[in-house]
Amino acid sequence: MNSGSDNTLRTSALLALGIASAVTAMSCNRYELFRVAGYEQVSFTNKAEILFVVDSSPSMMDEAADLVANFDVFIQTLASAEGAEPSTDNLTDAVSNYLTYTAERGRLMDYRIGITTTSADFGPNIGLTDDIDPGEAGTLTGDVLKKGEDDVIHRFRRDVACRAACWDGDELPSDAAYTGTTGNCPLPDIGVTQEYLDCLCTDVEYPNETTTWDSADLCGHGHEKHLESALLAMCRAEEDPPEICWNHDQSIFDQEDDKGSIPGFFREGTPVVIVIVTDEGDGSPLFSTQGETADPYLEAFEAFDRDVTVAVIGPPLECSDSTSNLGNSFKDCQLTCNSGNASQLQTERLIDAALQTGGFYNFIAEPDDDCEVSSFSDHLEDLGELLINLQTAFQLQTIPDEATIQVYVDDEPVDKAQVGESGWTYDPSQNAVVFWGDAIPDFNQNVRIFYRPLEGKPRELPF
Amino acid sequence: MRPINCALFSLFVTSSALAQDTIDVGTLQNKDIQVVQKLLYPKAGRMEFGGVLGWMPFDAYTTTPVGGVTFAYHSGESLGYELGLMGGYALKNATMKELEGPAYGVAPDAYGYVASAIADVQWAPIYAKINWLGRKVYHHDVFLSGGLGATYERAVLPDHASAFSPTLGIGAGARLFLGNGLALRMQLRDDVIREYRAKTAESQAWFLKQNVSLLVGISKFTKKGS
Repeated sequence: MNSGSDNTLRTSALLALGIASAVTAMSCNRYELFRVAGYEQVSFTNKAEILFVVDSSPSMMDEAADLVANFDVFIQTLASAEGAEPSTDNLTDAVSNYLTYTAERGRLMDYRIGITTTSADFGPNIGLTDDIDPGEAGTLTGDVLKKGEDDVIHRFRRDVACRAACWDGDELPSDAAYTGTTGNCPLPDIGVTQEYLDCLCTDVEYPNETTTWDSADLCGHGHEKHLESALLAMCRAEEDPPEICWNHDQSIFDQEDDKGSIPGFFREGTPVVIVIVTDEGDGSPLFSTQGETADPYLEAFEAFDRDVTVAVIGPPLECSDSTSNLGNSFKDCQLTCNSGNASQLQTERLIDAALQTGGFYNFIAEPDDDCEVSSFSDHLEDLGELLINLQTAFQLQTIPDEATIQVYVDDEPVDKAQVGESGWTYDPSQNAVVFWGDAIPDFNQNVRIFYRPLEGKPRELPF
Repeated sequence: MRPINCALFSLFVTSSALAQDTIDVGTLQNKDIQVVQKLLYPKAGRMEFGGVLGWMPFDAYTTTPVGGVTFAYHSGESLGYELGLMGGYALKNATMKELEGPAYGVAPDAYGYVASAIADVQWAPIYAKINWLGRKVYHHDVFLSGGLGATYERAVLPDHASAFSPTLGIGAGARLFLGNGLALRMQLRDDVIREYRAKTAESQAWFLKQNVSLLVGISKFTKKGS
């Protein structure tokens, strides 16, 4: 070969090398991954769907009476005379409602309430009929209750007391002087009485003519499946439910017939708060025999693309000083006031569900007060605060490196602050970013929180 | 030349049988062979001003349209010096949008290209012609470039943390001469930057990043000496 050919070859080789090195380097850029919470679909909202799962077993009579008697506390926490959206027809209205908004955010909460029972099954010897009775298999005991509708308190009491509760009429107090009439049944000062239930349940249509609020057939069959009932109710509320609804062990959900069978309950992207009232542990079918975490159901709830929070008023599980039921270990804990013969393992599942979703677990009885029924007034107040906190506390999915948290509202940075000052704080107990003062986002503002997880990747990525 | 002249003369005056005689032209060596192509579009001693548009499509999480201007001086046919001032606007690509969505809830701390200034040395060893479908002959050159400069980038996350980074640029390209001093330029660049990222300073602050861009532009050569 001559030298001219050599030059050409050398030039070509250099060119090829340059192009090859550039091409091989193309996908080398490396970036740290941050978690992001608060994408638009779950931005702050004043809407919440509340699903009560009420234990309908015979041991729950006193608790049901207290729930019925104190429900007005909860509703009043969220009450707004104008309904969900107070009017802002003029400047005075707007200013007035702004003050309401900043001072009493709960009053602007736009809720929808459904009530089901812990009876996730149906069939012979279960409930009033062989078919699915109201409250069974994730169906609701009545219509969806919406804020701003007439008689929400009355209808809630009726749907709980006449369909979800298990009464022994002989054990209820009697008040012969009760003067309530159908459709107008004030709660007696002494609480739920036989006459009150007679009044409240008069216009309830039971499948059998002989059935009354006192019928034993209204009682659940004693195998409580709280989270399964909640899952079934959520599946029924969705027009396009996720596959987990029908594709899981012992599922009784019919993909075609049951979807959308609770119309008007779930609104698009709205968070769901599941409120479980029980004196028993959870024996839902997705749990393995020795499974003490709520993971199988929390993963199922994730398929709904909604924020789901679980609040439980459940059996008291007391722990020694050296451990805490706020952690993941319940080794030194013990069930007390166990009127429902709850199993500790099954109770731990409910506690875990509440802890993992940022809800609360309140004891249904007072161990320090002769196991008296605890105050449902307090529980329902806690529930009201939880709903309000849904608007001010934003839970993170993994534990963050606190120094890396960055918070933006509508793409504007929000400064970190001290508790009570305007800005945000990180609350490790809730694993949440909490907003304060003027920094509390307005409804439907876009809140985004970025942070680096304390350990590892958030989850395996497909890229 | 005498043997050749004799041979030509013989073609006219001799019979065909004589044409079969061999002619000794001596031994040709490489040094005897010269490029006879006329350099129709010389660069030596001329300035070149250009504008380019392009795309940085290869980053994992961003895609960036870019544009800029170039100023070059060609000291010889194969050697030139060029200053490139570029700007761009990084957009999240589909991968990043999906990661940020509800399914993954993850936001890569990607940095998007904003601007750069890079001084290159250009080596253009090839000047050639292409016969296109037998209809037209195009003159073109092929060049390699390498240089140093600085790049300004911003984080795609809302804090928009900024980073000025030293940059090493390499590239390869070609000019298609269009006549009237105009040339169509195509170039592949790889700007390697060493980038400081504030949000990860405690674990890893410095990252190597490569901005690979595909550029197309038009440039204008001045007349020699102007």
